[in-house]
Amino acid sequence: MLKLELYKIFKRKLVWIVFLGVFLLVFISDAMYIKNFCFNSSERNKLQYQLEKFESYKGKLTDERLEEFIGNYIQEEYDYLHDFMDDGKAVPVKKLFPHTDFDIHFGYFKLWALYFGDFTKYIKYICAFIVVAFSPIFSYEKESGMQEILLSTKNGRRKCTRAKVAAAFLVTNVMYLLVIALGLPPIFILTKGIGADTSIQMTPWLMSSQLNVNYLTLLLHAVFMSFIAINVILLITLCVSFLAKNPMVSMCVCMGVLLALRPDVMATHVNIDIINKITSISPLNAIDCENLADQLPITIAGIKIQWIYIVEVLYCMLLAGGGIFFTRVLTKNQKYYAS
Amino acid sequence: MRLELKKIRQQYGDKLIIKDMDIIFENGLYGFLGPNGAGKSTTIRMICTVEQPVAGSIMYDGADIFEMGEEYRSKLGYAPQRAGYYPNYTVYKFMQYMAGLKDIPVNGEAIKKCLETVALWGEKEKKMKELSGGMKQRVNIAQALLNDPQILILDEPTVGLDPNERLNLKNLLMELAENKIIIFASHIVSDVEDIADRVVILNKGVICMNVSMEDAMKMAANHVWECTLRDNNKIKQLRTQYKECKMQRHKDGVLLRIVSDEKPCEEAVPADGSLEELYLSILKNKKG
Repeated sequence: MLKLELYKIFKRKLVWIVFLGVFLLVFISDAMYIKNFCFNSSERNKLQYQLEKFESYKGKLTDERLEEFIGNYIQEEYDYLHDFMDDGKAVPVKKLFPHTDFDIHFGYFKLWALYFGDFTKYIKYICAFIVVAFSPIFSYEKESGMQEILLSTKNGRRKCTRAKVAAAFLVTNVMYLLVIALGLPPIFILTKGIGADTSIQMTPWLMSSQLNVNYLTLLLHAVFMSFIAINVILLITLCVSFLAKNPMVSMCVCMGVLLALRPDVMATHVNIDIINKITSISPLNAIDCENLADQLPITIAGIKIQWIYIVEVLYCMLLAGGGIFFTRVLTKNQKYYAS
Repeated sequence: MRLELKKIRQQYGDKLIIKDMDIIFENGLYGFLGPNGAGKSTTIRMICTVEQPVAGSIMYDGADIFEMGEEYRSKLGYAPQRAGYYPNYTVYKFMQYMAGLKDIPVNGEAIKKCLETVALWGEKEKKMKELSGGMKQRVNIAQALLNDPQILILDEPTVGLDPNERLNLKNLLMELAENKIIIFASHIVSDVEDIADRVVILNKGVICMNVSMEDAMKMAANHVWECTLRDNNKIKQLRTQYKECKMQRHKDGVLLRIVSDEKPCEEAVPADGSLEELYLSILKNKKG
């Protein structure tokens, strides 16, 4: 049954188009990185200069280190340093990071800072594929008139449902692994690992983050969180498909769930911390680890807990609970819907 | 082999579809007749476990079919009224998918045998969306036969079939009926008349008649009258009074064939009835 369901998924032209489109977009993004930083000699030299310069000054960020770095650095070549400078002089570290109670590790950060945005985009492409490929997986059976036949056959209930779910998870996670395999190497190849141990607070838009991690650790969080999040998105898609009576409805509902509660939209109208926290939990936003890292921690019984860890635990519970609900409750009594 | 429906009741919301139905099916071919909305398809869906009745039980050889689950469904072959299919699948691929659903080898001889039975082996590489309505119906029947079911249920199987294909199907069903339960639901009474061993007439969720074909034809004989008339006014009056009335012009006048429990006019004589006329008579009585 698994092979038959995989065949059914890939029999649709649209699935192939989106499937190949995702890899094409990731490939193009990688190619742009390679083109800009390997084949463009001026950019290549600039990158090399920056890596060497930052590497020679890496370590605990102090006022002295920052002043010395800025004094020895050619400012025009590096826009991101403007946040660390005021009138050509280094801003005091305490003023730069007033909310952090830990040491900031100074080092190379530009490509790392840029990379997370691209990584989040890659995962969003996978989410689009999930909705397109799997929103009709159950609902199409009702629309096509096959549901009556399925429900009257030996394997048309439990085994067929299991095969569909297994096929969906297999395709999604293989795709995820391939995207990771394609999308991760450039950052390591270009930086040669330099800057991996730099604190994320060096990224201008993460200066207010209170999460004490470096870029490599944040990347690991991003890989883990995106893996959990895409499987939660897949589970939501399967549930909606199971309940919907036609594929178009299930696709629209899934898109709505994915695109709802966008913090970038909400923040322009309501800038309240709690709203931002709530919207950061929605599936498409949970894959944006920079956004999660930027949320303020919450205090429970005197213990400060970082928001990213809370979301990770929540999503793991959602995946486990949702999986049990789907297999044990929702699909147990499959009902016939007259089309 | 025995399939028993005991006090089956089905309703959708407040609307009662099947009312306390009791019926037993054993080996043979059962013709299931009834007007639109009588509850034939609903009854069939319950027998196929597609729907669960709100009350009553359906027993197969003494065991509840909903508790038997996969074991019961492995003995079932069902061709629904609206033939579902995947448009971009070829005929062969679709049959392979059905074989997977029925837990039989996808590359086995069963697919070839079923497609040859419905004369579609030559079209096996054609896409389902390219088939005519009749061909799709034949694929629908072929998938129902795939697992050599002990209970074969066909809901309006002759719709879209040309006369030759209908004849082939009827011959096939008569061959199979010896050691299977075959339930054949149809609007086309003549199809049922040609092949069924028993006739079940359903109306508004209630069984109006459940007799052998032999008994049905005997009953039909008492309900049909013929008369040849020339008086146009009388002809018009009889046609208005008896809705179930066929008219045929002859050189001697107009031959009226009337379905009625009592003699409609002096000139009328009893005639051999058909199942269709019995069916119309029973429905008329139930309406009245």
